Amino acid sequence: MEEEQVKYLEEAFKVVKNQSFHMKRAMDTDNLKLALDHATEMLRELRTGLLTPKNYYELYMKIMDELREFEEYLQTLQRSGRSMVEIYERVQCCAAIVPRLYLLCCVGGVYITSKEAPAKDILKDLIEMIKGVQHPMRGLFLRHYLTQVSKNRLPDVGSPYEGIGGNVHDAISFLLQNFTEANRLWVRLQHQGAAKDRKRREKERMDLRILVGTNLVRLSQLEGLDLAEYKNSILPKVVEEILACKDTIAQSYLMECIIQVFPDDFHLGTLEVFLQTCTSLKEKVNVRTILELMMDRLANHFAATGQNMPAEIPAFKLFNDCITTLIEERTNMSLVETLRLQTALTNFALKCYPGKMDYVNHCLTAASALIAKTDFATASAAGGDDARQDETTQQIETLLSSPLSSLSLRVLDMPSYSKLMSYLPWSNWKQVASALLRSVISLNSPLSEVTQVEQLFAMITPLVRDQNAASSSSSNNDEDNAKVASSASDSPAFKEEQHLVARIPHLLRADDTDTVLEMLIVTRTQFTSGGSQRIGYTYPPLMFAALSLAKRVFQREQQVVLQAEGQELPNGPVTPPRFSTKKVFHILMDGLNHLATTGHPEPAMRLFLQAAQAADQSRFSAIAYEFVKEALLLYECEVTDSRQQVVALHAFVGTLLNMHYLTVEDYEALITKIAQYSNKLLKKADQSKLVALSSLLFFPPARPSAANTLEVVGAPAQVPLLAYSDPDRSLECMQRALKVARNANPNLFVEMLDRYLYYFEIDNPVIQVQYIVGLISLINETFAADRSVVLPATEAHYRNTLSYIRGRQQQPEFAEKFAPIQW
Amino acid sequence: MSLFASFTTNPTITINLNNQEGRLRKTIRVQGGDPIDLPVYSGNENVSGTVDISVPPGKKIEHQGVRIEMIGQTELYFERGNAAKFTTLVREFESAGTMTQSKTYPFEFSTEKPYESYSGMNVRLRYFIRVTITRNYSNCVKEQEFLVQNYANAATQAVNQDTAQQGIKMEVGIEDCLHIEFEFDKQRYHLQDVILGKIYFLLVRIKIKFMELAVIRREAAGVGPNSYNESENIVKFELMDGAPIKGECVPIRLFLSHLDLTPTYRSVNNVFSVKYYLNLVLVDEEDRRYFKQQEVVFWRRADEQSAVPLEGGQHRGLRMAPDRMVNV
Repeated sequence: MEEEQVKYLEEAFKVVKNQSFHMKRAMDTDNLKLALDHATEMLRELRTGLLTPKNYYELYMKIMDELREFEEYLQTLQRSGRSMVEIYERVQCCAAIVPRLYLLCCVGGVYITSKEAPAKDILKDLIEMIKGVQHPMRGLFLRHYLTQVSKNRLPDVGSPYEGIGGNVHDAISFLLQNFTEANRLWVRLQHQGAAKDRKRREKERMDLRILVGTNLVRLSQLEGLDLAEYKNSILPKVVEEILACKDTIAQSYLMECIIQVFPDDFHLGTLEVFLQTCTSLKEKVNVRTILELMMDRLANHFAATGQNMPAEIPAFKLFNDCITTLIEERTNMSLVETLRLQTALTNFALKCYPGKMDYVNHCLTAASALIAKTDFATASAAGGDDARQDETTQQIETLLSSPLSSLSLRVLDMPSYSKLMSYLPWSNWKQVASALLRSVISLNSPLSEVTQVEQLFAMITPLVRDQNAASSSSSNNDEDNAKVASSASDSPAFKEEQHLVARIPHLLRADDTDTVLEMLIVTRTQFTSGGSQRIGYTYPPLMFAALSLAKRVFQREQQVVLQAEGQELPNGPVTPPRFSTKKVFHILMDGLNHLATTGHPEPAMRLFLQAAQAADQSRFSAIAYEFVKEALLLYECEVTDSRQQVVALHAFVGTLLNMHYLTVEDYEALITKIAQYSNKLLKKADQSKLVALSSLLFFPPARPSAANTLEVVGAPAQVPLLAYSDPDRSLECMQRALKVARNANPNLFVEMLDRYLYYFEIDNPVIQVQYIVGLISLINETFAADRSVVLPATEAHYRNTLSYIRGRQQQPEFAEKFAPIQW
Repeated sequence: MSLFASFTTNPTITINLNNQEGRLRKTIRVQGGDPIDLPVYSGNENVSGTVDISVPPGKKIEHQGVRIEMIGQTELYFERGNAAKFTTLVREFESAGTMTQSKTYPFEFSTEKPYESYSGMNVRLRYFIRVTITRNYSNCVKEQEFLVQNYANAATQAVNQDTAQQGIKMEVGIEDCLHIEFEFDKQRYHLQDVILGKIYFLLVRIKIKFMELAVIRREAAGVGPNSYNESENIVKFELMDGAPIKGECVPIRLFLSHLDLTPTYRSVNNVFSVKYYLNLVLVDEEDRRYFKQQEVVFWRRADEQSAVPLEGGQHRGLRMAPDRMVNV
């Protein structure tokens, strides 16, 4: 087949080469008759029925190249005064129709140039005579040649052929007629030959479609074409032909052609007609892609020009009507296809009508109604997962995702949105929920109403809890779900989801602290329902949010007090909060206890300490004590790993040193406990270090009077500042630490020395200079006895400490005090 | 002596026709022979000229008489030597005597020539002038042929050109298979005319490969048992390539001036007649032919040779059969 084609083509090329050679020679000797004869012989090759469209095209292009030279020759004849009338008549004597009509077109073009007859008459003649070729492929190429010949010779506005030669209407009707006839030929191609060749024929038709489309391109290129002309004379005719041809391929291609070929404002002006046409197309035509193309075209137009959709053009309504009609009439359209239409419309509304929420809402409502009409919901609940179901699911996902980037939180106000979400299977719902959350977070749009929060959680349910927790599915499903849940809980995807969810508390922002608290409570309820795996991720940020809220509530309470005292507040009057700081702390307490009991004792413990500090800052010493106590309890029961114990104890020490309003009894109880725990550490080195550290608790550095604490007015200010000092017990601790260190690791001595020096320098009354001197000589001895135990770092540390002492000795204000330290 | 002389001396006869400048000449070919270029006369035109008889110097020619004839005759190819003369005019130049020097004789024949010259498949009609020097043993003869074309007189021209004349319009078909309607704008065409027409396809259930219009000449010669009827295609003009569908309409435009045509002849001298037919032929993909013949009359217009005029203000190259509504 292919070989034969090559052979046919080669033979044809040979003839063309030969004949064109003789034709040119005849032209050189100015022998018109001979030139015509050879041109005829050359064109005779186009009568072939053996070539495929592609190869016929090759041949056509080759012959066109040669024919162009013949046309130029005719032009020279014409310029030298030769009448084209006679040549036009002469070429009509050729008995074979294909070469005759090619020559007629060729001469006809020059005939127009000669102006011996009005252009419109010649064009009319050509378009009429050309009907003689009814063979689809040969006819299409011939008609294409006619459009080429007439290209710059139409009586268009501003053309030299306008006037006597006709006007733009003549040009339009010429092109329209050629378009119509070309299209008919093209459609006819479909119905030729055996049914089994249908695929091949369709491919061939696709190869030839440009020959039809060219006519529309020419129409769009007319200078004299304006909207009115397009609306009144072109589009109706083109549409009439498209509908009349009743051919799927032609309808698809030509509708697309219209969109691409004509300018945007024409489309805007004729949208109604265009869309009405869309509803009348053949069933198999993919109207959606046509509509999408049109919508994109318009949307891009507005994006590029920066204009808005003109109010007088109800584009959305028109598209919507069109889609509604389509869905009504094409009853066998699949759900996924109808949803795709709604998605396209949604995107169009988003792009062309930014801020028109009701349009988007309308689309979503329509989509949800469409789903409701089918058995999709029940099928997906039954776990049907065939390909179509999947596709539909995907489409719902796409539909839901599209408005997110521009609307984000505002989708919360659309009831249809959550309705649609609920149609999705759990995992797909989860996908959309993630997307929703991500866009909300990336836009950092605050959630400032309780209902909003509730809606958000309703929409992101799959992220917040497991499926079986949400729906009462049958028991044998539970096992599966449990498996899924457990396997998913440490997957990266799960972590990422939970990190997203964990950011929600930071979005809860409102001026009124009461609202924030209410939102926090809603959030906590949701998080609590998520199970222990999720709580580990979600509770900490929630608790931190509560902590910062506590601070705000406290400030508000302070301002209320100031207001009551008659002071003018900088930000206007303040009402007392419904929920007091204490209430917030109570919630915190509950929450942290829940966190601790659901398997997250360590974060709970650290959070207790944070809360304790916050409570302390708000002068709620009792509450602060409770928090520390809870933390200690957790330490006692839950922290078993020695390394973590060390870390935890450090945190305790740090927290307690930072607390300023505990009562002495509470403080003493707590630090005693910590000293005990330090003493109980398993590793000697740890013991030594921590005991030394807890010595600080007994002789804490002077507490800054008001630094690091909130400025407090009114009643809470009467809480006394903690003043505690027990130098003896701190010495005890130091000595105990030193003793342990002696058995453990002599490297620790240097650290002890530092701490002794510190106490010495801040005038701890029980620390004597001889302790320091003794310790130095102890270090020297030990190091001298066995150098191998000394770490290089320790040695450097030690050297630095010694040089520090020397430095102090040389400073006048310390010289006296440090002088006795000698070694 | 004289006897010997008569054997050896041959006079040269030359026939010169008058008024040859600007006269139309045509090349004809008889039965595939060599082309001959001849002057054309109209039927009512006088044929005049001179005859030179040159006698070689010092010779003399004895003869029984010198005469000139203008003959019009029909010849059937299959009956050699049986020409039927329908016109014979004789003028005597000399009675029996002796010619001693060259001499020129003027002549003029003013008789009506009723028929046109014709050279067909089985018959020809020709005119010629013959000069004969009658002698005892062998005559000395010279012939000069010329062509005659008869232009329509005012009366027939008026009939032929009647603008109201009916064209040919027919609806033909094969039931449930092919149904077409065609029309030609006239029934009578002059030889420089253009046949305009249209073919409407009302029903197409066969796969048509192409359609052509043939101009057929049908010549009937002889009478009785010796009659010969033969047809030939003057041209096969392709009208359509490929298969149309119902509702299509294909135009016809055929220029006659480029074809080798004669007017229609009806019973010329009761010897022959020539008729013309338009044959519309459709050929399907299995090479079956569907056709319909229609006689048309061709006639010769008086102003045939004048420049092609604009018809209806339009170049005739652009003329079309008028549109009409067709019920499809």
